[in-house]
Amino acid sequence: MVTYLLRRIGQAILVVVGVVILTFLVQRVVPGDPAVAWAGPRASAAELARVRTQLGLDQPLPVQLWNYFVGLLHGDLGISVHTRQPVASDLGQALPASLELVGTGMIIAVVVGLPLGLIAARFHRRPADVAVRLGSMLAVSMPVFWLALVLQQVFATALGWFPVAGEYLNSLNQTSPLHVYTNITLIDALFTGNWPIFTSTLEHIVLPALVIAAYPAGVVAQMTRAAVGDELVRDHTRMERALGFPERSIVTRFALRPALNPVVALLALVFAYALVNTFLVESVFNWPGLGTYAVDAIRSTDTPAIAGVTLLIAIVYVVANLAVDLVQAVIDPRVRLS
Amino acid sequence: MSSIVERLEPVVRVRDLVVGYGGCQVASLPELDLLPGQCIALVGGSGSGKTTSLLAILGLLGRSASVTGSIRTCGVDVLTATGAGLRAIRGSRIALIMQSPQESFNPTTRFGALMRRTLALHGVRGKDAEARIARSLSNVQLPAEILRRYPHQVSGGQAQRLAIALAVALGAEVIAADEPTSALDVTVQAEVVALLQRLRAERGLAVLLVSHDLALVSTVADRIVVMQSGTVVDAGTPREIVTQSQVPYTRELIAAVPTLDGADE
Amino acid sequence: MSLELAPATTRRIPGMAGLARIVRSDVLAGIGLVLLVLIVLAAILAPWISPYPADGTVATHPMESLLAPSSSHWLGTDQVGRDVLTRLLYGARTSLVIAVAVLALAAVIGVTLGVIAGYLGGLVGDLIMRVTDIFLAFPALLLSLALAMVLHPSVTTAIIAIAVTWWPWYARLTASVASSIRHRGYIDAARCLDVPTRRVIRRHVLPNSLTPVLVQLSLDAGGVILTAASLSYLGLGAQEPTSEWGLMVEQGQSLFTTDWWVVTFPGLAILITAFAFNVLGEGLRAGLDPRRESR
Repeated sequence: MVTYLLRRIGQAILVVVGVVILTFLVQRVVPGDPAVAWAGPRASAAELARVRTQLGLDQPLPVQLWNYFVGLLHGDLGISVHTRQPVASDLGQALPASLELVGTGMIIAVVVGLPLGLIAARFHRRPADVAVRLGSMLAVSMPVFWLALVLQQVFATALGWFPVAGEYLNSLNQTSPLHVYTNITLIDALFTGNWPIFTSTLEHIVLPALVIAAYPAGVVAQMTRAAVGDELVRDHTRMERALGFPERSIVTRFALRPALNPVVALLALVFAYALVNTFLVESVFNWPGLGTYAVDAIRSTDTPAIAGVTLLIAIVYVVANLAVDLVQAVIDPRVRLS
Repeated sequence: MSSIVERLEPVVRVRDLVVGYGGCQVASLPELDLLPGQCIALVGGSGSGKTTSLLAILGLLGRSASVTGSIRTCGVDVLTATGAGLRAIRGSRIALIMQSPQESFNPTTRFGALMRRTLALHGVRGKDAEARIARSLSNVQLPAEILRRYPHQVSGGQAQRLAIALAVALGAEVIAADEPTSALDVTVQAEVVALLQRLRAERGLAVLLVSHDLALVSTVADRIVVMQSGTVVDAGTPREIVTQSQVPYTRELIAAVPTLDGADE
Repeated sequence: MSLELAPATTRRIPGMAGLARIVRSDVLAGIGLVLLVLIVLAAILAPWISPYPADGTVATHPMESLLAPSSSHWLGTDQVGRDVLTRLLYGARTSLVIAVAVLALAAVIGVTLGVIAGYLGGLVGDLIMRVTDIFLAFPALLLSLALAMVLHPSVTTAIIAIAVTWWPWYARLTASVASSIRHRGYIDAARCLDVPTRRVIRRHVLPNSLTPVLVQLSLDAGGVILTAASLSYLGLGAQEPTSEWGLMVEQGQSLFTTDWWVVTFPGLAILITAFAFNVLGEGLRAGLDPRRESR
């Protein structure tokens, strides 16, 4: 078990190094002069020269790469062009709100997707199965930004069931200020018993979380259906039936556990995908997370900011995959041996 | 008087069984009576319909199979019984053991957990269950610590013996065995066969055996039914089959049995 | 004496008969196929079947902006008076062109690198697989987005940016096929007989990779369409005046409350097209992977 752990962590570190190099290269691929992008098109030659030195652009490429690495290890991701703040602190502020949103979305996705997948596997080829397949296919094919706009229009603007935008009612900051611990509003509000902000955030998170949950729910349902379906034709299922277990027990107790393996493996991929989808959802709902930050950065061609976001999400993805592998080793005793 | 009659009542009674998939007939078994303590073997190559017939007797064929005829297993009419009715006899009256013993068990469930859950399913819990499990393990000569293992951690022979132990613990009267020794080493095969024979002698277990191995079968079965391409082509006692049968397929099976001294039986 | 090896048994790729069988047994795949045929036809015939062909490209009619759906404009008009239906049809062209270009590029790059890595192996092979791992550490949209932003946005840039993120899957797929073939007995025999590597690759590695690659292509098409639309929505893909569904949604989003048709129809087009590709891809994958039909 320990050797497995060490091996996986080693692999992850190598990949992260590669990710950093690639992200750095992407930034330097800019046609034209990065100094112009930073200083603006009307900067004088002297200003451009100063910016160039400041950004280290006059050094040879390998030296720049090395400086980039060193900077990263000190938590320096450069300065954002559009906020003029260090990218690292921008990300630190924006990340928790996105984690809150994606976390809620993933919970909804699993709570909805897993049972639906089980039902589809249990009633293979019958109407329930076709319905789940249809629904999950639509969920997976959904243009996320469009779903966000439509849900907002129908349920917030038109029907008024939910607020249109924001994380919670801003006036609550005066009447019921939040004590910040984790920076994740729902958690902080819950732990400090700040019900006004907690309920307001819940209200505001429903629509964007549903949009974020759509793709993962579809994927979880499909994968559960496939994995459980695979188990249901194995010998051990025949044995379980021959022992007298009812079908429902077989599906939920005996088939699900080995099937969880591929489903859990998927969760890391889906989590990263959902995190990127925040780019398409947050600005619609004015949710103060990575997505809004990234969209603003794109609008102002803010290369350091986009590079920072890219690096962050890629690293989160690598870590998530690692975490998932470890969870798998716990769930499935067969994995521990490999 | 009546007890003698009861003892002669077949635990498995099949008449005019026909199984089809999507319009194709896959197996046909006109008659089968398995008496308590008896061993009947269905023999044939792949595609002969022997496994299908076995599964039909347990009611384990999928929804896409069309099954006609009459099957009475442990007092239950398999073709008309409800799910609950079938589940009442499965495991506790008639047990199944299969070809790949390690595949027969859930890979994420320890043996002990499976045994306890199955016993609980059939109403046996607590100390009673533990006692039964301990007795059945010693009966098949497996150490108690196997209960903590996962299926991939034991050998094929051990897994197969555990399947038999489970049947014993549940008190099954019939064991349906689908190629129980085909995937095992030759020496281990003999152990499993010997175990089944002993249980038959001690507990009056009936065995419905499916196999392609005529040599194995002729040493244990009271009656052999030879199947080919879905139909019964020959039937009789082992002596009749081996020495007197004129059916071409049977003779092929006999000729295929390897012998050590080179002379054909 | 011939030094030829018998060609390896290849998985049969379904011809029309096979396709028909898959579609008939799987209702959803059938729907997907029908939808896809309609979409492709619409894209090809756009200039001839659109009510206002010029609107698909450069024409604008400010006097007719934001007209609700009516008999003269079935799906209404956009902010500069262009017929939405026409732009939808031209948008189909854009999307399909992008999808085909991306997948072709990704497959070519990926398969080439995969064959080298899997069959030739060694240090180069390992290096290629490490690079593949690194690219795979980026979720799909992310890298394309960064790349597209950095190289001025256009349809071409979008194609390159998306292809750059998609090739690793094909490399991995082909590498595993190639490496499993390399370890088969008859390849060692071939090597003894001095059959050139190129021929082994052509006659064994490539045909055996074909089916998994085709299946992967059909599964990826939907995702590529969504990624392209997302890039355009973010302003990093197709630019005015090109008709592109994601772009249309972006342009119309601030007007959604009053002029719902500008956003609704392009979004539906994306949904339906991605759905058709996905469902067909799933059906192909399930159909080519013969499994238990009866349980």
